[in-house]
Amino acid sequence: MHKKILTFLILAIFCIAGTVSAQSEGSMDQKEYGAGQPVTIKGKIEPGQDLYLVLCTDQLFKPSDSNGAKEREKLTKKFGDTGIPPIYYMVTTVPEKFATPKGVAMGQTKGLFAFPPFKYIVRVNKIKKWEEIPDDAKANLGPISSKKQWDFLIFTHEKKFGINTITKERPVGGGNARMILTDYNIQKEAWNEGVSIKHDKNTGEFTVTLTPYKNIAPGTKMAIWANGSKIGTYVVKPAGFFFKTANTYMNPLVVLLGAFLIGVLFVIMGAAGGLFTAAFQITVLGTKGPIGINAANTVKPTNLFLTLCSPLTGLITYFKERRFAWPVAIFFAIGIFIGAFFIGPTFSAKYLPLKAYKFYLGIICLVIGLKLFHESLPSTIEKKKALKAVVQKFNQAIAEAKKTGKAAEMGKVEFDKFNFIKFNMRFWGETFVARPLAMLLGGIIMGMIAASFGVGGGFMFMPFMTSIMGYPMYLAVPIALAGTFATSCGGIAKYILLGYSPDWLMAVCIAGGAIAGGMVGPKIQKKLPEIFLKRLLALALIIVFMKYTKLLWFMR
Amino acid sequence: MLQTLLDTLNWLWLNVVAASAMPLGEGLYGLTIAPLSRIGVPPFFQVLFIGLLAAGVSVTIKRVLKIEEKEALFQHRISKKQEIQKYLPALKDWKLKKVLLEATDDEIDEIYNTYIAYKFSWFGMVYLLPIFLTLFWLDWLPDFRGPRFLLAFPENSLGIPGLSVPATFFLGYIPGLILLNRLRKRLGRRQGAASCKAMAGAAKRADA
Repeated sequence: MHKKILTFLILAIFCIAGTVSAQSEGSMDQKEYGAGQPVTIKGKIEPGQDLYLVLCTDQLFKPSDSNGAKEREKLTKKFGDTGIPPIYYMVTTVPEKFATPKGVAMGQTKGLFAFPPFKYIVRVNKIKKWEEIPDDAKANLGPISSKKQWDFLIFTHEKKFGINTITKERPVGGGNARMILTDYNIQKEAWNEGVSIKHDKNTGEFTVTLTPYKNIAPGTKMAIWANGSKIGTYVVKPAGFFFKTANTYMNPLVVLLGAFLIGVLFVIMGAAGGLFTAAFQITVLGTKGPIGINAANTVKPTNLFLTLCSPLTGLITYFKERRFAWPVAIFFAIGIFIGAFFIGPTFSAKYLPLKAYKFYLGIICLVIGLKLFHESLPSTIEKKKALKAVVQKFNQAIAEAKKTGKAAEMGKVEFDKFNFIKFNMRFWGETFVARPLAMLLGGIIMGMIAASFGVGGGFMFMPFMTSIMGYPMYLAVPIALAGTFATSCGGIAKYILLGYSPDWLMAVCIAGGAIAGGMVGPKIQKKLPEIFLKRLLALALIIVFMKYTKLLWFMR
Repeated sequence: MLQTLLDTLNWLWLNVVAASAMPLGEGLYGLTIAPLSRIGVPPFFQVLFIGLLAAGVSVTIKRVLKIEEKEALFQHRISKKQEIQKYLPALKDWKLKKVLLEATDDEIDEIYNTYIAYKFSWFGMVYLLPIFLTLFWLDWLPDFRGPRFLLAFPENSLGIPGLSVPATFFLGYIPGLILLNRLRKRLGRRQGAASCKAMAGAAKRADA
């Protein structure tokens, strides 16, 4: 009996000693690294083994941690309560055990636009399925130990929704986010650029250098694992000012300056302000959204807040001047509010993540770009002048009516019998056909589209009313403004209730810049060539279209 | 060149803007949230109160910037130009009439465009900036970082899980704004009536 116990004890001591000797060790030259700075890790693993070094966030993210209602629902449905590090890099001397470089179809792989050039081939590091990874390698994945976790990691590095919601790192060459990495000299692929591994298999000593994602929040604790053992941690130092909700480093004064330019352009062009702000947020500022919220769901509410300002300005004046043809305006505004509150944000948060959002935003940019170019043509300018004259005559009539105290009487809407489908109404001395149902239905559809994209929607409302409904400009403008106001109110309310909010400081900077631009714009407007600027803006919108639809290979 | 500009902006942000905003934020906290927390007011009502205060700030800015007066001035300028156009039909020279009409049209357009641009700026200063700054400040306070919703709802068909800090803020801000504007108008009317009475009295005295 004693002998058995002794043998067991000796065996146990050997096992423990074996485990201790198999433990890897390592060190870093610093305890803190600036975000986006190269990190160098030195250490030692058991001689003769391949190197598996994991650099990841120490804290795990679970789907239930997401503040966005739709993301939480989607991720929980797919991955339950599985936790993974949002940032995860595996730097190894044997990358072939985890991933295979190959060309895959990207862009619009399904849907209306699933054809070249919108669908294209990109070289990616295709991550292997859990079953295809050798068992010896599975033991070296750091905090990852199950198939569910690995599947979740694949989702957050290969699927655009996963990348834009959790990983946040821009995919290399439009493909996947970086995950399985090796020395650039071993595998000359774009994702390995800047990665170096020096590993002496005989002694087990190694030195690894890589640059993690540049927008990791300050104070984030990063963990380093070598061959399955945690060998150290470091803390991320800020690399400038960090916008907490937008999840990006940027000097707020740069945002202010950019928004100022947009404000000036908006005053000069009188269009595309919302679109440019959205593109500015995505491309220039790199708004990513908090971990667990898709980037697009941070951009959209910010934009809607800014579009709230311009309709509010004209709306009150029109209301005071009794220029609302209410049987038309009310149904239109109700329709838009229904679309913008009940359908748009819910639909958008679920089905319009950043990838799709950018693509369709690109298409809208093309439409508005072409419209702006058309507006810069001499024939259109002449037509517009004639139209303005009509509107001005109407304004003059209002001014006179106000003076004589007849405005209230003339602004009164008169009709014989209300009909939900169609009826004749008299307004400011003219007879119009009011179609409440058509306005309601049109409003629902357009409100849904506008709130989905986080824009005011003026570019849709005016053509709808003048071309489809056949209303004159002076009747259509106040109704369109009411529509834009309803989009902003409905959209903002629903996005906030769903748990999405703008980055408030970024919104302060954008609003501040736009306000200053709105003040300076009119003063310099006369000194600038309007036609040239309109064409330049049209060109810029077409370039945005090409970039967001990834039409040209060098823009991917 | 670009690096110098970025360095200057970084310096400005760190040493001027952030350095002065921090004590301001802390001071505001000491004056508003801290006393409410001390007497045990729940966070939901604290944010509601801040919404009301922000509405007060908006109304005050509107008054200080004299926005209504500025708007009236623009309206006056537009109607003056329109008045000129009324006399144009009396001109016999059609060429001169056309030129003058076009010129006044352009002038009205210019005034109106400037007015719209300024109006955007005024509304931004009155409403957007106070809203954004207050919500940023609330976001920055550690007191409201914990719970996702200040008021959680049971599962519902609208898919609305509860009232977050911004939603609660607007619940205080919007009614506050409507209420304060009405109050201001009523006070304005009363003041107007009082000053009318005073003027009438002064006129009577002068007559006597």
